[in-house]
Amino acid sequence: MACRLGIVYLPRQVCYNEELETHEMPGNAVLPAHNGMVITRNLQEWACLLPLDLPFATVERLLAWQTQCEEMICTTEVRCLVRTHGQVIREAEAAEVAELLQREDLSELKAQMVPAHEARHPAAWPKELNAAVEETLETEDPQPPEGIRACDWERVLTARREECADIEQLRRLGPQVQPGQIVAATDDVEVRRPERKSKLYIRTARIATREGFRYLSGCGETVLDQLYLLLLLCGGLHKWVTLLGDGARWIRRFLVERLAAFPHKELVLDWYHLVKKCYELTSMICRGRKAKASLMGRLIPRLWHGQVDEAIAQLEAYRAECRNEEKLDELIDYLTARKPYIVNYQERRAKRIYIGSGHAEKACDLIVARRQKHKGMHWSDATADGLAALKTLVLNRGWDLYWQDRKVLPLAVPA
Amino acid sequence: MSHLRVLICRVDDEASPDQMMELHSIDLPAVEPEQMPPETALDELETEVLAVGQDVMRHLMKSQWEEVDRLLVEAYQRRFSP
Repeated sequence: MACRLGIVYLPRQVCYNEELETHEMPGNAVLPAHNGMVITRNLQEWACLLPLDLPFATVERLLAWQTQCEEMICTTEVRCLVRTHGQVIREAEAAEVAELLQREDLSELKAQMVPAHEARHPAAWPKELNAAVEETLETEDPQPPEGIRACDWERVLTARREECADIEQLRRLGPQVQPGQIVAATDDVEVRRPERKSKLYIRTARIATREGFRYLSGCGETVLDQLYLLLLLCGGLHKWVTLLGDGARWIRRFLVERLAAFPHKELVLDWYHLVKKCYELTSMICRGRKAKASLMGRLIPRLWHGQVDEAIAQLEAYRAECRNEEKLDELIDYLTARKPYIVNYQERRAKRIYIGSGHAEKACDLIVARRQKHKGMHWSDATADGLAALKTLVLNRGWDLYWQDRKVLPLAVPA
Repeated sequence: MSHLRVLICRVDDEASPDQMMELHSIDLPAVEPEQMPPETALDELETEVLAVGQDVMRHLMKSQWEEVDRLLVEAYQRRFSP
């Protein structure tokens, strides 16, 4: 037996049953099913917790150190435990999704969210800038003082004008989930498989309401079912649902197909991804850096104001000068396909409404990238998904429930 | 030179708890203060005590298991008439 005390050999007496002519070990009655080695749940918890942040070899060494046993469970066994528990979690999630999808009425249930708390130190400019801001705001045509970006300044002026906010409030302006709003940021992250040029895509999402938040992760369609159900359980049918993402096809399809019945919904193409795409493609479209800077200088302000048609017209007008017409068409197609989701970013930012999918990027980072995306790493599907499932459990504060009560954190609880 | 010893004993008769049967004895190494540099003395003591402590607990675990196994075997044997 492997336990927190180390490896302990447990002898069992063998009894001979003359009637049946069989040998039996009565001690087996209190042991779980095993193939010669039993690993206690306490040790399994350690073996699954440590690899969420540490390499498997380090986990093996730490477990040996913790138990004062030179040879404890090996890295292969640790991987196996991660896969097994990951699978248990995914199977429970799939079963719950299937059960909830069959229900006709979800009104007696509500989403199980992690309670949200006010940030202790919300992002703000340094206090030293307060005096300069106050002084500038007194002038007739206030310009942003040094250290404050123009887009932040717009927000400051809007808030000052509309809410007469004081300087401490102005320091900490930023988007917040509004009452009656659900913000769902979604993304996927690729993980290298052992096979050459083969990748596994793990989808992640972070759903936030005024009351709380919840992370989701997984491969395939189950995670989309979970997202759909969570939005329903949060009251998506009568709330304002904001979906934030990089504009990938599966996110657009989710909005159109799965959220068809949601009356107040929007998908916002993440501003960072939009600019990145333009930046990458204009490198191939333009002849030289100056030409690229010139085109970007005309394109980005249009997109910042949500003027997609004008941006496309700019690109069409550039056709004669471009060096790669195929890439120009690619960019035009990209913008055309995502036109409904390219909003007036300038206005939204000034009004402190979300324009980016930073929450989803952070979720990808926390759930997958930090552990699984380092140089030279590759993963089997089961291990990658197992680690993601366990990490999601930690982020949703469901770890203790799983290891102490053997229950997977449910999506829904009685309202 | 003296040293510490941890004993694991079994009390067979609850009525006479002072009568015990020794199951295991585990010795701690003798300490030599003059050989212990102040920078590492506590760390070494901690390591030694932890190693011995874990060993003691493994013996305890095994002894407890043997008791469980013995009771299960007795129960199994009772199912069959002699």
